[in-house]
Amino acid sequence: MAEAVFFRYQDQSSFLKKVDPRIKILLLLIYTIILYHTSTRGLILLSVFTIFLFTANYRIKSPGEIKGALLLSLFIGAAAYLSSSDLFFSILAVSRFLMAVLLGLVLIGTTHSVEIEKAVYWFVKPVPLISETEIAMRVRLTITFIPDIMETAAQIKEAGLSRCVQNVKNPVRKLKALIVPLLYAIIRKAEETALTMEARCYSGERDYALERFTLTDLLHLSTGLAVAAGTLLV
Amino acid sequence: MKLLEVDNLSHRFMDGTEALKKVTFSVESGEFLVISGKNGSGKSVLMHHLNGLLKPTSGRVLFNGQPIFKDILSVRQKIGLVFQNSNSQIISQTVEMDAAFGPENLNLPKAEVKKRVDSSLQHVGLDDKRKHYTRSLSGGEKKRLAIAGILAMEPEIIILDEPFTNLDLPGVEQILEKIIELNRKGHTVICITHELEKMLAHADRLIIMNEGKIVCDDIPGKALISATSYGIRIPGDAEKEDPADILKRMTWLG
Repeated sequence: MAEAVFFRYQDQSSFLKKVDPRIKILLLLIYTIILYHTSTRGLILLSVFTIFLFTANYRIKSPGEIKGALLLSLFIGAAAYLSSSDLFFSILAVSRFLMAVLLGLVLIGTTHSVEIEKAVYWFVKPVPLISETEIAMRVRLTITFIPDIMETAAQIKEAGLSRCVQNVKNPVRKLKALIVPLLYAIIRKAEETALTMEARCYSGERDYALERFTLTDLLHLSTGLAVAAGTLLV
Repeated sequence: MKLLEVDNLSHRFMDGTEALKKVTFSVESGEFLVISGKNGSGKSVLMHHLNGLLKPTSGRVLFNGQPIFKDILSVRQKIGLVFQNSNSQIISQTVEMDAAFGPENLNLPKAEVKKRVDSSLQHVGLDDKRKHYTRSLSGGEKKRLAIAGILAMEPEIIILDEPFTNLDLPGVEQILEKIIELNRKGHTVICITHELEKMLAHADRLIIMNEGKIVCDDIPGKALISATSYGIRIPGDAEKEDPADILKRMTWLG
């Protein structure tokens, strides 16, 4: 079960694992913005690049793993078609969404949540009136526990099916049978995790230092920005 | 030497439930203590108090003669807690990163963190899986990682809450061997469990709790005579059989 969960850190070695997490997060943000502002050609170029990164860095262990994302993209496509009656427009909407998902998976698959925590701390620290330690830890925990939440949701769904929830006609009741126990499980998990962290002396005062930027990092950033510029120029 | 003292500890929840009622006992250095009782007897609430995760309604907990809330961070480092649900205790994606979480919270130098992680992972036999994704570990391995995370903080006392929950026979054997080894190496071990038949033979002392009170505190051979009357299963009839013989069978190690 645990092996087939979407949105997980990848065990295998990868070139992207050596790239500074701040650069990866920055490029992810830039690419996601470009996805929604570039021309069709730019979108094709960025999609090819994204698919290359994804296939080189993320292993899907079972087709069921991406079923949710595919269903959601179909829903987005249908909604886009209903609102515009333009098939081409809805295909573009689906592509943009799927590429954003793949880029997110590349980041999650190649960056340890501790590195993301430190990078988020680095980005948020200059912002006043915000607790950078809290935000950084929350991002880390969210990333770590998303596979758990998905697995719990799948278990609750199976438990519901074993008790014939599929026969319930009312969709709200059907959804309630999934959402209420899931929320309960998430809250319980959050409480337990907070206690275990406290027991391990967590107080927010940790070493958040990342390595200093090197020339290699600048090279990575320039290459990433060159791809971004290329997609905007074509 | 008394390492840990619980003095008249009471805990009342907001809804009025009395989870602990004037609980008093002490733990000697190097002791292997088992605390047992049926569900709702107050075992887990007591465990939370021993690490300062709950504040008592009355009474106090002393570590090395000092109230634990005097320097709670230092006490939490010295009293390691292994929770029942390892999945909640593991908050990192790789084995070595998770073992490093505690030492990093202590703001130790990187070299010291690495040294402790290496040593704790070796201790629990997960050294070869240090780069592995934590979700891919088996139940027994996750429990061992939870123990490694605590060992990396170099505690004097290790408290394990229901350490055998959801483990199969090899998993129980692995964890039990580690617990015994830790005790032999000088750690004080407190094991909170209702599954006495899996490990009581190795313990020095048994405390039985019922409805928030300590109803029995003795050496295992004597204490298990009253165990069944408090809803704890033992593998034999203590009235017809010699308790020492029953005690010998109370282990899952071959």
